Amino acid sequence: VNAAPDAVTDWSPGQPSTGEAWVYETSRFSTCGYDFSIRVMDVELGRFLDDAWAPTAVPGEATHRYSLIDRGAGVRRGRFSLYWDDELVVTTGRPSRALGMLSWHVNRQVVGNRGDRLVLHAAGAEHRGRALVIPGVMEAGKTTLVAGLTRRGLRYLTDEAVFIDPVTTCVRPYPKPLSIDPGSWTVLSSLRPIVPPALAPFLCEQWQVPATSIRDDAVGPPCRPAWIVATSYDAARPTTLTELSASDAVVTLAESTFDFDAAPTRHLEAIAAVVRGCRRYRLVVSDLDRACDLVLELLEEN
Amino acid sequence: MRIDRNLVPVARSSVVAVEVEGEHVLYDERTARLHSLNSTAGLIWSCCDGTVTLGELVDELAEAFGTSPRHLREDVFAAVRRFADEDLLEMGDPIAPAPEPRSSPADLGTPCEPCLAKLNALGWAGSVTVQLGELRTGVRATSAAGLALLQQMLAPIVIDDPSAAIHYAMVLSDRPPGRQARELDQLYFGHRLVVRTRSRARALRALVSRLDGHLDSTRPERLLVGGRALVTDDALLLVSDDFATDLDAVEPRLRRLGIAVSDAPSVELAGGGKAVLTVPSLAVDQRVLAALEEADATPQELDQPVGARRLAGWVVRSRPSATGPVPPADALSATVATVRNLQAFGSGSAIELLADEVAIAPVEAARRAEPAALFELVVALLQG
Repeated sequence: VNAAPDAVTDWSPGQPSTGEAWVYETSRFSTCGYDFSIRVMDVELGRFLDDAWAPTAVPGEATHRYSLIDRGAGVRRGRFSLYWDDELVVTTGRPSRALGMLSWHVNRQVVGNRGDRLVLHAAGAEHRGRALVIPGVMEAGKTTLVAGLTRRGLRYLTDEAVFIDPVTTCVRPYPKPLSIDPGSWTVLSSLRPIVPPALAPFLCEQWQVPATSIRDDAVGPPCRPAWIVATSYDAARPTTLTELSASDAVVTLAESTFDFDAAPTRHLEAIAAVVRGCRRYRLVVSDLDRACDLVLELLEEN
Repeated sequence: MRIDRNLVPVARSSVVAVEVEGEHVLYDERTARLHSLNSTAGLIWSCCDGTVTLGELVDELAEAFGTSPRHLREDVFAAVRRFADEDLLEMGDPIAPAPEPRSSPADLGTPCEPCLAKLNALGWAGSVTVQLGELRTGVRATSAAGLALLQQMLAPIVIDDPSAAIHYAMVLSDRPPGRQARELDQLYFGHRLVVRTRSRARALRALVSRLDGHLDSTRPERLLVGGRALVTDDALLLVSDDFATDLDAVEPRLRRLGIAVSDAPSVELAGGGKAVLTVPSLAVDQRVLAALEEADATPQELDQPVGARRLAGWVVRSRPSATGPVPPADALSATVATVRNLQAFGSGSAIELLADEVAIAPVEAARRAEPAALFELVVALLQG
C-alpha cells in the first residue's frame, strides 16, 4: 500500500516522466450509498469519465477519490497505476485494464455498501414504472440484452447489480456505464463510444457506454420488479422465452445473490417476496433482436 | 435411513424453507445447497415436522385429496426418500454412524493403463496407509529405506489398513548421506507424475502437500486452488499439473530469474487479485524433512509461509489449437476446476470470487511438451 501522490512528480519509484500534476478531477458520483470522484492526468480522459458516470453525478465533495496515474508513453511496464484514496488498486501497462479495474473496484464498493439490501448479480431495466430483472451467470449476455432493450425504449437501471429493498422490494438504480465486451460489439455497433484517438486504447478490451448516450432519458427511476427473465446465451439454440416455475425462480435469484450465505434466511424471504410479485421466464438468446422482440411482447402483455 | 410406514421424518434444523405459490425452496445451511420442490413435494416437506409417521401422513393426504392411500404411497415415500438422500432429514438414530471411509480421492481421474503398467513393473518394497479425514489412501515406495522414511514422516497419520487403495507412488533412491543421487526421486499420483527431483525432501514435501490437499476439500474458510505455483517476490502464478514435465525442464532457468517453484501447493485466493501460498497443516514428523534437507542441502525457500502476492494468473492446458488468452467463460470453468474446496467454501461464493479474479488475472492456455514457450509465457505473466 502506497500513499497516492498529491502531484505526480512526487511519485519517486519508476519514472514520473511528464512532470505533470493532476489536470482533471471529475464530478462527484454517488450511487447506491457509495460516492467517489476520479482524478486523471488527461483532460479528454477526465471528460470521458464524467460522461460515462454522468447519470450518477451529484454536487458536493466526494468521500472517496480514485487517482489514475499515467507515467507517460516512455514507460513500457507499469505505465498506469490506479489508486483508491491512498490504496494502490493496480499497476499495469494496459490502459484498458486500468479502466476495467476502476469499474471493478466501484462495483465491489457499491456491493460492499449494500447494508441489508438484497443485491442480485443481474441487469435491470424499467418499463412503465415497473422493473424487469435479468439474472444470469457471467457471459450470459445480461449487458447485451439490457443494452438492446434500452436501445428499444426501456430505461436502464443497471447491467451488473440489482439492489432491492427487502421490505418494499423496490429496485434502486445503479446506472453505471454499460460494460460491453468485444463479443457484443457487432450487434451493438451503434453504441460504440466516439472518443479521441488517444483514448481508444482505454476502450480496446471493453466499451464503457453511458446509458445517456443512447437517449437523454435512458436511465429509469426506482421501481418495483414485475418481471424476472433469467437469461443465458447459447449460439447453437434458437432464441426462446419459456415460463419459469416459482421455485426455480427463487433458486435462480438465490444463486445470483451476492453473499447469499451470509444471511440465507433473510435473503430467501426477500427473494420469495420479489418472486411473488413477478411474472417469471427463462430466456435463451442466440439472436439479440429476436430476444428483444420476445421480451417487449411479454412486457406489452402486462 | 430406512423409509417405511413407521418412520417419523423430521426436517433438519439447518434447513430454511420458503414457500412461493405452493412451491417450496429449501436451503441447507450445513451444505450451502438449494433445493427446489414442486407443490406436491413441498406439501410433503411441510409435514416433516416430527409429529406423524409416514403411514399416518399417507392416510391424511389420501383423505385430504379424496384418493386411496395406496395411490399416494409411492409418491410420498419417493419424496421422503429424496429428502433423505439429500440429507435434509434428521437421522432417526441419535447416534449417527461414522461416515464410510472413501476409497479414492475425488480427483484421481481415469488411469492411463500403459503408464500404470510401467509403474507397476518397478520393484515395490511395500506401502503405508494414511487416514485423511474420511479418506484412506496408500503410498508405496520402491525401496525399503524409502518406505522407512515414509513410515517415520507420516507416523501421526499412518493406520493399519493394508486393504486401502494405493494412490501414490514414490520412487526414492538410496544414497549415502551427503551424496547426490544418481537417479531422480519421483512422486506419482495414480499414473501422473507430480514431481521429479534430486531432492528427497522436495519429493516428500510434495507428497505432504498432496495429502494435505485432500483435506482442503473440507476447509470452508478459505478458497483454495491447486496446481503448481511459481513465485517471485511480488507475484504468484498457478500452472496446471499437466505441465509438470515442462516445468521440470525449465526450472533451473526459472530459478536463475528468481522464480521459485512449489510442487503441489494449496494457494488461497484472497480476493482483489491477491494470492497466498499456504503451508500444509497435515500432522507429519517435520524432523524427517529437516534432516533430509540438511543432508541433501535442499533449499527451503517455498516450504515456509510467504505473504500475499499479486495473482499473476493461471496457465492451463490448451485445447488442440487454442493457445493464448482463454475466453472469460472458459477461464471461469478452467479455474473452477482447480478449486480444492468447492463444496466446503460454497460453490456460489467460489464462482463469484473466481469471476472477480479472472477479471483481474489472465488465464492463458499453453501446449504441453513445449517448455521454451511455457518458459516465455510464465516469465511474461509473472512480470505483469
